[in-house]
Amino acid sequence: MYQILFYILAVLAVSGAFGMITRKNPIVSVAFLTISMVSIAGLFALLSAPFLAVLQLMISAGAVIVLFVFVIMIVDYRREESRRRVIQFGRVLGSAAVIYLVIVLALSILKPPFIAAPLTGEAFEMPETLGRLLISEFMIPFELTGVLLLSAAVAVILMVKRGEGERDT
Amino acid sequence: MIITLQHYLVLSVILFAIGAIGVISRRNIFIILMSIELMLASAALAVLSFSRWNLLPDGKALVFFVMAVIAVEAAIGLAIIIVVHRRKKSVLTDDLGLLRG
Repeated sequence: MYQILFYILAVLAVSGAFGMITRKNPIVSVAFLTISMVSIAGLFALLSAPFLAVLQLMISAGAVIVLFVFVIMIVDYRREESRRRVIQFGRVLGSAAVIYLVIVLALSILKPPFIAAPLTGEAFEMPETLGRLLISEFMIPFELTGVLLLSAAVAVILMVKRGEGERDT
Repeated sequence: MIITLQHYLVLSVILFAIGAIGVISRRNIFIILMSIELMLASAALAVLSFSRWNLLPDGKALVFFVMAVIAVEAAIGLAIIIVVHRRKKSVLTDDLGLLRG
């Protein structure tokens, strides 16, 4: 059961990612990215982190996707198809990276040890463990994350708003 | 056949590679941002699988912070896209040479 789920989710994630980078229309790409993110959330759940799976669903597959769709809707995106790319160097670099990664993967697959996942206790899976960790050991990074989110919100509003004011005057 | 740590790592590397190819070869800013999202998510997957196999819950905290960074990155990136689009009326990287003068 676990194996079947893993392979289904893995295939979905990879094909979603592949569809994302090959589509011309960004809206279709966003749909493919959603498939990929939902599958990755499922993989998080398989890795006995249900709380993070829900967070991944809410943030990456929910909030960020909605934000992307809204901004793509605001911005005019239809001009890509009409024009040719100036340099084709990106394709070459991309395929070189792919070949390198295939070699590295082949080398890593040939090297054991292949160990099944150790059994987890009840405590490892529970969100309480993560919560206690966040307010004890990772207290300062946790607080700083709050500051980061706040400053990002302020920065986004400031950037977008100032641009509008400049255009009006 | 059991699922080992290598399965998760190979999957994570494949996703990361696809994201990297997207960043390198596409020229629509939206697709580049989405590829960066994908790369961050695949890195989070690798961290989480290591945390699962070593039974260390610290990896979950790291993934939590990565998710906060994903959200912030998307918000800031999209705001930059909006501002640049107002100025240049384009979302293609070929047209955006602001820093080259």
